[in-house]
Amino acid sequence: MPEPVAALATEGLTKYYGPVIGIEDVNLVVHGGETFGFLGANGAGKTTTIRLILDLLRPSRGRATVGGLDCRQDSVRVRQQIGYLPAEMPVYPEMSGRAYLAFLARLQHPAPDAAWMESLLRRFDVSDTDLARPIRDLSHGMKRKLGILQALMGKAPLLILDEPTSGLDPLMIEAFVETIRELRAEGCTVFLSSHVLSEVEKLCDRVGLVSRGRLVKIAALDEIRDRMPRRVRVVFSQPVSTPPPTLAGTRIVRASPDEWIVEISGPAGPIVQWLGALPVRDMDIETATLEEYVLGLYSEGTA
Amino acid sequence: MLAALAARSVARAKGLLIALAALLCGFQVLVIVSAREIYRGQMFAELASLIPSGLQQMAGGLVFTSFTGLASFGFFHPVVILVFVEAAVFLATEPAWEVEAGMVDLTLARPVPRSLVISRTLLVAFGAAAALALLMALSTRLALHAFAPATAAWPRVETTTLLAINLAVLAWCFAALSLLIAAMVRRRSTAVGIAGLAAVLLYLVHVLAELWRPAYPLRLIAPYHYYNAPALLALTSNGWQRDLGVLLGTTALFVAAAYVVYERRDL
Repeated sequence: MPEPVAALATEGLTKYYGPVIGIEDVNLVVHGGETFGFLGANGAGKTTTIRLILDLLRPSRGRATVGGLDCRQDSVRVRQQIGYLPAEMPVYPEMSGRAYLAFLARLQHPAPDAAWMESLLRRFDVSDTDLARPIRDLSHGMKRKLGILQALMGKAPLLILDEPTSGLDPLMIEAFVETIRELRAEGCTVFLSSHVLSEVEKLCDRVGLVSRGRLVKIAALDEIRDRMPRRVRVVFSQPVSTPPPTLAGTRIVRASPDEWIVEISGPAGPIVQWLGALPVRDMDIETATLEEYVLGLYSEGTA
Repeated sequence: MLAALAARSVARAKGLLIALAALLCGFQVLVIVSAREIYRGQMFAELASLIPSGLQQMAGGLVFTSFTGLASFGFFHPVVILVFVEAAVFLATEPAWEVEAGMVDLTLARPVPRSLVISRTLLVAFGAAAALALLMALSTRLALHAFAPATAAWPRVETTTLLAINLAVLAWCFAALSLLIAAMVRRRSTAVGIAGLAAVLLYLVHVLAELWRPAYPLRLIAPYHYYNAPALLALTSNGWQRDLGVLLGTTALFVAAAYVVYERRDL
């Protein structure tokens, strides 16, 4: 049986800016209906990757495809399938929000559905008064909402969203998360670049970590959760002279006769078994958040 | 899509275009009113004596010695030409502004072919130059009807039309050069700076070549050389067709290069 066509794929995608590496040999596959989180520190190469997919930049080598179409050769057809929200929303400050959306809608094919547009305006609480004001007079959050509206209004099969919730209040973040979940349920694929890891945790099936232009890790979020270190605090009822064991996937954070703090990655069975012979009074297991995990990878230079 | 992009550009440039139209048309009226006063006072000889002979020679004998010449002066006054050309330069550099401001990230993230950005700019810059030249011609004819003495020989309609067409084509040539530069750079100020400076320097080359014999061969590199207003005024030769051909050919080359460069560049 032939493999289904990837919603988005890159093969050896590379972009050099003179001697500077934008991205190098990025290989990734995003499946249809998937929400893929694209993570990395500032300047890691996230936006370069996105701009290569959109054919705004031309690759030094390699290629990207959307729905099997080459982003370079079939650029217009590819962009017909994409709804894009840039991290920094460029605007015509003198335009009203309504005129701005109407202008961008005229550049789309097919034209956005009016009922869907109305529904988006309601979800994101954008009133007629807001739409009538010049964009220069709008708050950062309201400009961001306009950005989200323009990206979602075409109901494109592939959404590429760069820092989508930056500047939104919690209610609007919730509305955004709900909308993305609904679109995903309808088969939409989402490529989400974000620093807000709680948002990534809520929405994404898999994440890719990019560092210094290279894709250093791709993993399912469940897999990452399984691998994420847990911090185990063990309190003894009487002082223990035995040193903590050096088991695989275990790192000793602190060890005193009364208390150990051990970080474990992988199954907890071996350490629990080892502790069975000791006078344990209390035990506390704390799971690291995705944020801590990713920050750890950044600081180690892995990501 | 082209209509949407062009409408947006026109809306952005609306203020500039209205101001320019008012300025250039107002200037035409002012020139004709001045020509009437000089004609009534029969002061052409005094006027000619005030103008250095070199400049008179450059402008052609007819300009400062007849009502026809003076009434058409608004089409080839150095300030008018440079204002006209610099406006075209500014309008044609919009692609560089769009890259600088990030607007291409929104427009070209949609199914808009890159070539449409260049076509839109051509349409707007060339259309604006043509419209301004047409308004200047119309205001000239209206001002002649309103202010010109009935006894004076008016510039012929063909003369006014040819002057307007040549001025517009000269502006197109510089617009095309600016478009090519804007297709390469990331900042509008860079594009306007290079093209705007080139327009001024080439004008100086043109003047120098006309006034200083050793520099005469340089006249061929200045597009202004191909806007031969004195010959158009006299309607003496058909050289204007060759001149228009040179300007249009150069324009076409710059435009073709702009399409190619913009298609290949990183945005």
